[in-house]
Amino acid sequence: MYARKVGEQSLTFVVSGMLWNRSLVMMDQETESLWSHILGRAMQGDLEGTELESLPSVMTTWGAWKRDHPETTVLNLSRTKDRFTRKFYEDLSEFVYGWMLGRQVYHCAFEVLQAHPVLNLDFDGWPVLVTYDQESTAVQMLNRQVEGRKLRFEAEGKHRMRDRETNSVWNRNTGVALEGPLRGRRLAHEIGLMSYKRAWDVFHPDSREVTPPDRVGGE
Amino acid sequence: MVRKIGWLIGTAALALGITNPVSGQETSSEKGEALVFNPRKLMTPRPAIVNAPFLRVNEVTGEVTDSELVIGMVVNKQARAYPINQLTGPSREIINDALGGRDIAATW
Repeated sequence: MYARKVGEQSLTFVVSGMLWNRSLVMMDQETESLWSHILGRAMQGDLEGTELESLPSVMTTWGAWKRDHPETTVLNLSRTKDRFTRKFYEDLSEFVYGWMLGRQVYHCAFEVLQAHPVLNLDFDGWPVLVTYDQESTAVQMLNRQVEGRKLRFEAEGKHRMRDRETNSVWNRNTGVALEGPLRGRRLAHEIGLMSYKRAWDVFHPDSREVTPPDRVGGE
Repeated sequence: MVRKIGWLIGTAALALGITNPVSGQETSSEKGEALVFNPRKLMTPRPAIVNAPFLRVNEVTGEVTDSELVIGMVVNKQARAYPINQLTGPSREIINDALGGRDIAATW
């Protein structure tokens, strides 16, 4: 998911009809530059080299999303024939969850997320959390620093987590504290994305795999 | 995200020999290794999707069901879900939308 504004103008994107390593190539109507969807970067044309701002998003189920965001709206184009449910993730080995820090790219196997539904990570002072919700298959990347303090979380129940420092209970998906001393505080969402492992390996050959217990934050 | 349909179109096109490589340009991955931009043209560009309609939760009557996957976004406290079912197929993969006062591209 990207912001369309580049400089002073908002671009209008279309499906170019081209694929690059089987990945979507977008085109903006304004300059007809070609953009790699997976890299979020213009690869050819007047805007070559321009990078789009990524915006946080999550792949989840409609039921889980409306429970956490009762005021949400939903796109209403006509339905197509294929149904996409959590069965989409039938073969977990096909998927990874990835993110970028500076110019270094990281990824984590989906199976690791299943086994560790709350993963505390620390990258030289960047304290993040990757959470997994089994029911909706939603993966979230959150910043676990609140008011200057790094928190360590443990999974609790299906959708919750608890921080060790204050024993507050949080919604694992929204990053909002529901009970305890930090009630009402919100963890910031970071950018992470689900990808086919095959595509990730092609576009990010230097990606570093993250597996517990390494990178699990100790402060 | 690479969609299975995109992958299938890519491989089918290869099999039928109707690919049309666009001239390759080199670019670099994170460590400066060359990644050649050599896309294959499969079809002409699709029309832009703009001003896409949306529903509130209490207006939904079967357009999307609870177990179906959506991409959820919150921008400046405004939340919207984009059902994967509606994003599949070459014509649908990019929705030019506005959310929370920002112009966004919802993509699949």
